[in-house]
Amino acid sequence: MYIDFARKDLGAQKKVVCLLLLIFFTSSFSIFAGGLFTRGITRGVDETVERLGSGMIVVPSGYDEDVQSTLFEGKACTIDLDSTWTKELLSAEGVKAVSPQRYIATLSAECCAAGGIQMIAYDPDTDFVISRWFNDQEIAGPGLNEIIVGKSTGFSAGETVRFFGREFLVKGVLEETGMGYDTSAFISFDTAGAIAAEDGYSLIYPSVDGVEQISMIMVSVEEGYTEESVCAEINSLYGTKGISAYTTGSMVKTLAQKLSGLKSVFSFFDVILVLIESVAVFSVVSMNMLQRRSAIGRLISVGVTEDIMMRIIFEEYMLILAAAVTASVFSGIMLIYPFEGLLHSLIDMPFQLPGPADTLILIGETLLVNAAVLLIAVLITGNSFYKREPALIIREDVA
Amino acid sequence: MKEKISYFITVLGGLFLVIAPQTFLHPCQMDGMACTYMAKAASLIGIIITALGAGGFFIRGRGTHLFASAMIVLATLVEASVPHILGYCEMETMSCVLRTVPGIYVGSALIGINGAVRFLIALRSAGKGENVY
Repeated sequence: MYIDFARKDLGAQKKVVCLLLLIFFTSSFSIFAGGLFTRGITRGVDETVERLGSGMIVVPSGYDEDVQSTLFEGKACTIDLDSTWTKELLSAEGVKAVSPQRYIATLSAECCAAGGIQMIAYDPDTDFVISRWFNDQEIAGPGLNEIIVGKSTGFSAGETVRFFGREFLVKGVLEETGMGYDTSAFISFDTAGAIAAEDGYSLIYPSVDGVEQISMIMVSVEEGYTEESVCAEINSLYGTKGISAYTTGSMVKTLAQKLSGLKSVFSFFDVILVLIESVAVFSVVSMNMLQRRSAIGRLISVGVTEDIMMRIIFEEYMLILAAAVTASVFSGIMLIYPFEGLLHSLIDMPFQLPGPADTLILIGETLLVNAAVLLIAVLITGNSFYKREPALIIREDVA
Repeated sequence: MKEKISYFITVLGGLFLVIAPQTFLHPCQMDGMACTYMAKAASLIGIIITALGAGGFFIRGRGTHLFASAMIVLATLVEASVPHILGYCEMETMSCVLRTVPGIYVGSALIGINGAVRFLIALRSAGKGENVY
């Protein structure tokens, strides 16, 4: 009943409607789009932490940033480390298991679509990180000439792809991770060895002085030891010999710090925006109610109570707010969801847009923040209006 | 006035579809790739959409406006289907997947929705016997 009344009333106040639409749209869009962005990064970082799990990564000294770029941003790189380190590390105190991995940048893939894939060779027999993800998706590990690919590679399970002059059967596609693994392809060391045995491809899995070259070693820690203590032990023992150990926690810590900084900036921006919005809404509502004083007076003179009057006015503004929030959510979704990949490539951090449930919660929060601002503005304006001038309003109407 | 705003949005959207796939939302610039042809085709249809939108300012008559709106909606549908028809790269890190294709979809969707709303309003007015435009 009041909604119909409110709709008709709005038709006669086009300038106020446009002004409020603009204010609410700006505020809602910033809150919603900013929320999508920060939640996307939070989800990406959470996924990264979960994927990497606990443990350590041992890489050649000075290559930690390359490894981070590969893991978190998907930038392909090739790193060489003597495979003899696996045995050496296994003998260190507190080390439970080690598993080597070799990272190979595949810029020479034989089709445009496959350019820039990070090939990761791993040992299915010793692995305790990657196999876990495949098991979760019920994908068996890759055999000879078989490959498991990340979601963003564009390949589908069952198809055949060519890398390094050799055909691979795509055995499975890893679920979206929001990190570098989305553009990676996983093969076994047996396959890497077979590729390297062919003419022209020895750099895929090279040997230096008869020692096979890997890229990094994943290390898990025995019970009773902490990752930090074993990491410090490895660095003190072998730090001068060309390798460095990093806990996965310390690798992710940089991401967490970046995320925290981003969240602070967005929160600060949101608070400032809501404050500006409050002042703007309060001003528009005050002016609008003053302009409509005689109309309100007429309603009061025919017995409309203060509660009903306030409700009619609030519902009018709520209709405008609902339209503005709908437009801002539509614009935010149209701008951010289709360009998810572009955003990911620009921010250099793991990124995974929130799912439908999280998005709905964010829409609810956007609506609530704006509705609260509106409600406060209407209550303050309405109360002061009624307290100060009810008699005057009615007198004006009677006169 | 409302109709002119609607046609103005169409012209702006059409110009976006003409310019974006060749400039800031371009695919990787390699001759002979499906995505480069796709971007060129998208820009070509963008020119048609821009022309239809600009034509809306000059045409008269209820039927003509209904026809123009229907043509704009049809053109945006063709525009949106260009990436599927001509194809583009599969890997999701390629420029065409990151920039060009989403840009074409977003531009087409906005112009299409705008055109469809204008068409429906004009159709409803025509059904009531009102003299639209």
